[in-house]
Amino acid sequence: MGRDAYARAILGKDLFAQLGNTRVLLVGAGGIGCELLKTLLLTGFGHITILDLDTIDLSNLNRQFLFRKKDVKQPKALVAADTAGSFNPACTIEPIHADIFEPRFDLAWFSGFDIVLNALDNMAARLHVNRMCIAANVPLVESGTAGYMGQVQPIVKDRTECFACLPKDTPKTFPVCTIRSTPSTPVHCIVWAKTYLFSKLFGESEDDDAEFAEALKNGENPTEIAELRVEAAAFSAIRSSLSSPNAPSLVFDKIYNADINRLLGMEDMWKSRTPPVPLDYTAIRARSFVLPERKKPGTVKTTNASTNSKALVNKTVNGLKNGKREANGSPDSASGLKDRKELSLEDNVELFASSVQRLAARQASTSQPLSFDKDDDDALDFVTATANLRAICYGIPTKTRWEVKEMAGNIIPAIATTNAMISGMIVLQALHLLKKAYHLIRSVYVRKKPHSPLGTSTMVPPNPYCAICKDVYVPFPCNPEIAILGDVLRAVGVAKAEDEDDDDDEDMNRTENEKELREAYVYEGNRLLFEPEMGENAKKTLAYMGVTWGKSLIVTDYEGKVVNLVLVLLPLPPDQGDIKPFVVPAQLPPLPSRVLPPVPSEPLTPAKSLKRSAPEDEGEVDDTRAIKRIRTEGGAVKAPTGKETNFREENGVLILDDDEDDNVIQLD
Amino acid sequence: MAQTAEAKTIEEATVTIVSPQGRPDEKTRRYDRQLRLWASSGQAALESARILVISGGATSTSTLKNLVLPGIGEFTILDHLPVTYADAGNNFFLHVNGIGKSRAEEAVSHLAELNDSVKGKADTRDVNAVLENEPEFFLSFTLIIAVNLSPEIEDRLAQALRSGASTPRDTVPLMIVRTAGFYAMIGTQIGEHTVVDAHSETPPSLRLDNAFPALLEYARAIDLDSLDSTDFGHVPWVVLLVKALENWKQKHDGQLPKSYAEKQELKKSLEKMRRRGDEENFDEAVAQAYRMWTPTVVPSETRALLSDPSVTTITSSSPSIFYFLLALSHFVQQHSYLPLVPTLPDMHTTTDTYVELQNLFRAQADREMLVFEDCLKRAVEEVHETWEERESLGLGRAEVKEFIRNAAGVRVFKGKKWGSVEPSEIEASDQKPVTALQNELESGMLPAPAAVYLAFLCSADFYSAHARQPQPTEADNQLLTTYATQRLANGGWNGELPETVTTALGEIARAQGSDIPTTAALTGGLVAQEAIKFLTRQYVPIEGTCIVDLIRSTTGTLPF
Repeated sequence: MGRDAYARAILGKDLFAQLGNTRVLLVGAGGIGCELLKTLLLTGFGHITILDLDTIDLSNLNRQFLFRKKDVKQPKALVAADTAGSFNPACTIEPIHADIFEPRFDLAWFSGFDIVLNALDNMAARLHVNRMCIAANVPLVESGTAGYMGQVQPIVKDRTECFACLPKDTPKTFPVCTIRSTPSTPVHCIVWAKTYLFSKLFGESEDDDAEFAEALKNGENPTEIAELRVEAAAFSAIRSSLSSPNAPSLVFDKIYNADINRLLGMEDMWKSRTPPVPLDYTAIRARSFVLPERKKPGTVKTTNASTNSKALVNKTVNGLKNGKREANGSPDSASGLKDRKELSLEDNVELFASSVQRLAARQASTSQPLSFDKDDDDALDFVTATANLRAICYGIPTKTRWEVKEMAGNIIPAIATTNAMISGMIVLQALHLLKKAYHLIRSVYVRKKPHSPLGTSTMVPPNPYCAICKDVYVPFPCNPEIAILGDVLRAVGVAKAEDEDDDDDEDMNRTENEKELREAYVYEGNRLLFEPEMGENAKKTLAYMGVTWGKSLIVTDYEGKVVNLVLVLLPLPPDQGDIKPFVVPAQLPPLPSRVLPPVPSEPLTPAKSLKRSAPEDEGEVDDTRAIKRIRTEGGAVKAPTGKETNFREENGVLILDDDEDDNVIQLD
Repeated sequence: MAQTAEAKTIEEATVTIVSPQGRPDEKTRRYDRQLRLWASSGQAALESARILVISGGATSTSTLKNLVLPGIGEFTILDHLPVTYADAGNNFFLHVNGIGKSRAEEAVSHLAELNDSVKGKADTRDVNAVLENEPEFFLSFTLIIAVNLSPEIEDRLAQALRSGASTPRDTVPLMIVRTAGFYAMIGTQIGEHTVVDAHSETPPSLRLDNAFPALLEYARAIDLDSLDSTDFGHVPWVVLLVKALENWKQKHDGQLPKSYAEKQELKKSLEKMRRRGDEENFDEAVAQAYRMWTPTVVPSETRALLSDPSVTTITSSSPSIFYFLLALSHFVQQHSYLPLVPTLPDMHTTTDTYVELQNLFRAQADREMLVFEDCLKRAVEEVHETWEERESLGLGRAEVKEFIRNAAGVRVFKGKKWGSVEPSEIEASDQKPVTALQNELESGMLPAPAAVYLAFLCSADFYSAHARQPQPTEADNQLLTTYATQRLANGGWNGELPETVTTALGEIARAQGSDIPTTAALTGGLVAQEAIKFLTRQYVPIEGTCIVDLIRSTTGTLPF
């Protein structure tokens, strides 16, 4: 019996031969990725490209079986390819240690694969690959696991739902003031420590202005925001003295004494809240510090967070607080594992001092900004200590290091067994897709039901309101450095807005497309680049606005009558030289009419139902509002450009990473 | 690689500075993601497990991979065959350069690389010979997984484990796995199996239908009318429900609402307590309104368990869980509920109020725990042990708390036998698939686990008669059909072979006994997962025999 005998017998000669020539893109070399690479090799796939941005961590080794202890800190994609590659030399494996968002992974690159398999851990990358696969019309198998649960979803453009057809949970968000001034739960303190304080001291020096501006726009307290600006500015002084031996006391005095006292000075803030108490570093270390007695609020007394933003999701806040507290305090508390010990005030101060020194030493030795990583012990120590000390100031329960890790890292349990099952299912669906046996493809769920461990559902046709897979995608070869947005728009039949003073000489195609220019909004990701009333960007180059190869211009009809036109940027063919800014496709495909979603039924509150019946809300305006809403609900919600953008785009609130840990392709 | 060099420097640079606080050890860090599922108690159970896997094929090594990675104590592969080309093609842990060498030894050496703390052993004896000469060998394991053995060997193994066990409770669990192409079957033989923590997703009851006195008093003390609008909007829903229900009871002779109309009326009265209409705490209260009229009871599964002889007739050698269950049966005789679990769900309120409320629940839970401990003391004395020995019996305070937390999820499974060849059971064994098949046809259930199960049985019949796997030829298909017809007739089936059966038989023939990578990956995950459930005694195992049908991307279970 030959080596491939089984595979050939069971798959049939034709499919088996086809597999040898099939080019697979495997995005992610983590828990699912490792399993999948193995199963693909054994099944007989001939060309596998495996891409991952991440490096190996010790906590990966309980399931990512292609990695050994000696591989820790090495790039996942390279080690996975190396370990697995020796198994079947007939297969070519191309490992890429990179971020899937890089411009080089453009439409043409995606089009070079016969099938794409997602083994990702974060929403942004999933949505991106989904969109690229829809644009390139390449079948995709999407997957994910969390503990005992798992899911596989085959995606074929126009045949099945795409990943964005169903709205996804958006990341939990908190108003700036809750995080910076008035925390009321442990998770507020952890978010403050991890997202704000850590990066202020050791991370990329960020510009807060955009965030503050957005917070103001959302109606947060202007006085508070003004104070926060002052507070933020004072960090640059602290940063420069991090290498001095008394750095811990400097930092401590600023954040737990000076800042708290300054907040206490804003008396308005504490009228209905229990005020925080400042801490004294020297006194605590000398064991002479006595925590001042806190004013005991009445039976039902508001100490709750900012009342400004309705969207502050108290439920989520409390959900995290209480859910996690109970879930974790439990079975292990008795087991005496060291990092599950409750830390006293003094313990926290010691942990604070030592972690500040360790992180400062690391930063000094590399002069690289650090970023929070839950598996980085120094960073986790720092976040644990600083979050707990803040909690003590505010009279909030503290958390053990183990609990902080789970909350700060958004840790999702992960085991080999679920990943193994899911990988088997992914390959099966991939085989069906390659055979074009569409009647056999299924969405599959691994679940905890004792009578039926796998759940299966037949494929659902695309959501007619989906803002991703119902759009029309057009490859758009261009040189972003010289392509002017206004010219691009005119070339695809969109008016440049009130630009009549412009000299239109350069418009070669004018006579052809002039006939009926429509008005439109233009987005890149979630960024609005252009709208009819605000046309100044029309004169800028695409590159100037950060729109490069691999990204897309989304042209949304002003009146919402037709679906979006998505221009997917890619390099000009070599024979087009450097002179041409872009090539318009000979014929733009027609844009089908947009199906408008039924008006979602809002929760019945008197205020809102009143508003709904107001006459000025009827009519045309509603259409565009509806479209904007789909844009966010459909899933193209998170810009792929890291924290800064997140702050700006998510309505001025801080964001917890959406990092689910497994198969990490991290974005920030 | 420059990048790696730099990364190492960072590590070296920081490794000298040791954290003064409890830094988790390397093991905890390695197993971090799974400890969050089964906790250190589950991990300890895994680490003391000795697992035997018989045969070193693709499904066997896929399964073992998933057990070695999370850190079982020790594994043995029993296999006398050499590595073939086909093995090197479908088994990731067997390589071309190992062809001709022992399959057990090659697989063990590759699997052991996955985790330094797991011991692997290769046993190159023939399973037949071991069954013949040293059946007690099998009794030394914590769990045995038999993959793609002949039915005859499976049955002898099952028999050996049964007769070697002093009590059903001590029977070494056996998992029987067969694969063929896109099909797989997983059966189990297990003695009595206790699930100490089912990790149920149902949250524990707050018993709001009958609030405990301290909670009632707390709720009464809050005068809603005197609160300003901010405070009013932060009264927790638990309090709102208690107040609303108390008002109701006062008007209805202390009765809960029973009919749908009554429930709606109560809900309306809750809505009437609002001021503005959009208070978030009231939204939550309305969503939780069912808690007012859902009577707190002992779950029926728990009640059934408590009257089981294994609980009512415990002896001094019973495991501690049975002492707890006996104590629980005493407790529920006095009260009509389980001891309170102080898990307070999320709610829209202030931190201070939340903490107050939580303290109320904790204090009540502590009171009930003491009552439960009295019951436990009684249970201990009933079997003539002394209460002072509670720690050594595994009945300490920490264990009591853990039991109470999981009480509603404790399950005792009576176990089941594996085997189809005991003469007295032959007919009954054929009856099983027939009944299941009839049920399948009647319910129009597709895919058809019973049909696939029958196909596995027929494939085994074929193997016994011809000492080879069936091939996708007309002659072999004909033979398979004959076996199927025979088996169904024995079970009282009159009529044509159902189409589901012929399809399954065709697929079994096409598979030629192959162990393909996709099936091996999925089955290996499933089997390892079940093994972990048995070892940790956490989570509820799959019921009955599990059939995997990957042509239809699904699984089904048969009730035997």
